[in-house]
Amino acid sequence: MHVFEIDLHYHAGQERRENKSLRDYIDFAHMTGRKILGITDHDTRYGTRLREGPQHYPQSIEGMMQYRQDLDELRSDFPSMQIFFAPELSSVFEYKTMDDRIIDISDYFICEPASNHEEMELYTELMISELERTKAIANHTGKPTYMAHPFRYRLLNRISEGRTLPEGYMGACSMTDEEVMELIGLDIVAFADHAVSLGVAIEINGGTHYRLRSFNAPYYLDALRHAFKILHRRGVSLVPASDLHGFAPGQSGLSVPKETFEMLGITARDIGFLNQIGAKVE
Amino acid sequence: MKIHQIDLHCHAGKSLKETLSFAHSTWRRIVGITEVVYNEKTETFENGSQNALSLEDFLQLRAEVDQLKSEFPDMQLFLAPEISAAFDYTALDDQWIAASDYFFCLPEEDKITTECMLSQPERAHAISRHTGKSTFLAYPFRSLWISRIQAGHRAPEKYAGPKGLTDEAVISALGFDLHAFAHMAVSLGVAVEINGETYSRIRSYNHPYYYDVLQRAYEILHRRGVSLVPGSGLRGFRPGKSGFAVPEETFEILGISGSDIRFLDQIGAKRI
Repeated sequence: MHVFEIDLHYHAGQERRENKSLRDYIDFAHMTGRKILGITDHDTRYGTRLREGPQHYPQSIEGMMQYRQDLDELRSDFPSMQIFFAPELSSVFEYKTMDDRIIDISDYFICEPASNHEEMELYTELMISELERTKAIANHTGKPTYMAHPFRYRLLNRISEGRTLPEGYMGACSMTDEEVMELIGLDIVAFADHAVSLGVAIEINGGTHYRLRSFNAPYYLDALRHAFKILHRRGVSLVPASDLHGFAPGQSGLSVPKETFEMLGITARDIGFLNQIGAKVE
Repeated sequence: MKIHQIDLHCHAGKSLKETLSFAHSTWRRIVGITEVVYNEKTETFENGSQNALSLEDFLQLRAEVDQLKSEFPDMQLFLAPEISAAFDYTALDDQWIAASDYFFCLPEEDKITTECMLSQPERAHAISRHTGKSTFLAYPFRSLWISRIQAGHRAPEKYAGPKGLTDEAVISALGFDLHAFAHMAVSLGVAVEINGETYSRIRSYNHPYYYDVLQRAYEILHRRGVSLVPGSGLRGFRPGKSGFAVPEETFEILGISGSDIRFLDQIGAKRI
């Protein structure tokens, strides 16, 4: 099995494009080589932040349950795929009062971390507390839980604030840990060590890669990859995911960032999180 | 000069100034501004002038580009119409030619045979001869490859990665004689674009095979002496969210640096 065949963060619920069904989304996942698939949706789409306009499911726990049911009804049509259901919990989700029904229908959870604009020490504190929160959710639910796209908004904000490509940048090989930590404004080593001590896995997210590519200069994607290099070196468990929200065949659709896993020398067998959710690696 | 600093295919969009600001903030320093054009005298576009420029629109764009040069002194700006397959290039008169720094032409979308593919460098060459301006062929394999994937061409069951991809496998995947295409492009002196948007589209298929075939096709062209040019195909952007990039990785894999882009000499661009 290859890393690109594993996608643990694939939106196919309320954010489905209007003319596409859940079957269409799973068809696309199948066609694009995904074999282990984590279907997800934001918890906010099911009651905590109601949106106007037509929804695919009622904005309630019952709606999420219907989503899960729709998924279960389609499984037999995709016998070569292992499909899981994993709600993406926002940083403000009140997990301590989580309805047991959400826990029952979920195979694992994806935790979206908060972000801030503070200096390194305070941001590192925040991210460590987010790791602890991720762990707490796993303990509370009894279900495996990982942290989604850990550096995305922080890094994007800092780039937008003016942290630019260094003069005479010589490529990824020239990057240092210190430079990357300074760019992101995070003590990545402390973050990594805490993730390891808590046993919290961290996602390498295709959507983040896509966004950083849009900055054109390779420096920014190189910095993200270097950050994951630090995590990997410190023993953090990493999980692959696209974060696909919509697709148009031949035009658009986020992919699993397999090149980063290749760069790190991580194969499908090395994805420890798969064992936690009972996925079989062929 | 780095490859990502060279973008010869950047759509002007609704606000040229915003596009140039974005291009500047994303490290582009040689920029070819473009839009699809149509000739009112010889064709109509179903979508009208919303998506394509008439001569009058194009001349206005030219004026805007020239006006904005002083606001972006560290950028070299060029203007190049995007010539669709349906555009009658013989109707390009002196006004079009005078307002253009170079041209690039799009491949036919629905005729995918070796004969048709060979006609594309011929057309680019013909446009160049007619206008006296350099012309490259934009994203030659995009529609072809995507059409074949959409029609059911799938990655091999046990795909072993790019090292296992032979020229024959790539030619078979694309369905036309790539060697003959390369030979035609070299003999006519036609440059071919490596296009960022195409890579973005192909990446959306997730499986690396589709990307690797495209990459290997360019490697074949390069090996056979075809001149290659970088273009993003940028068409709209949202800072930090979206915007096609110049496909620098492919040029790196091919060992091509900014100083190797011969097309820049043809349009008078100065490498930084």
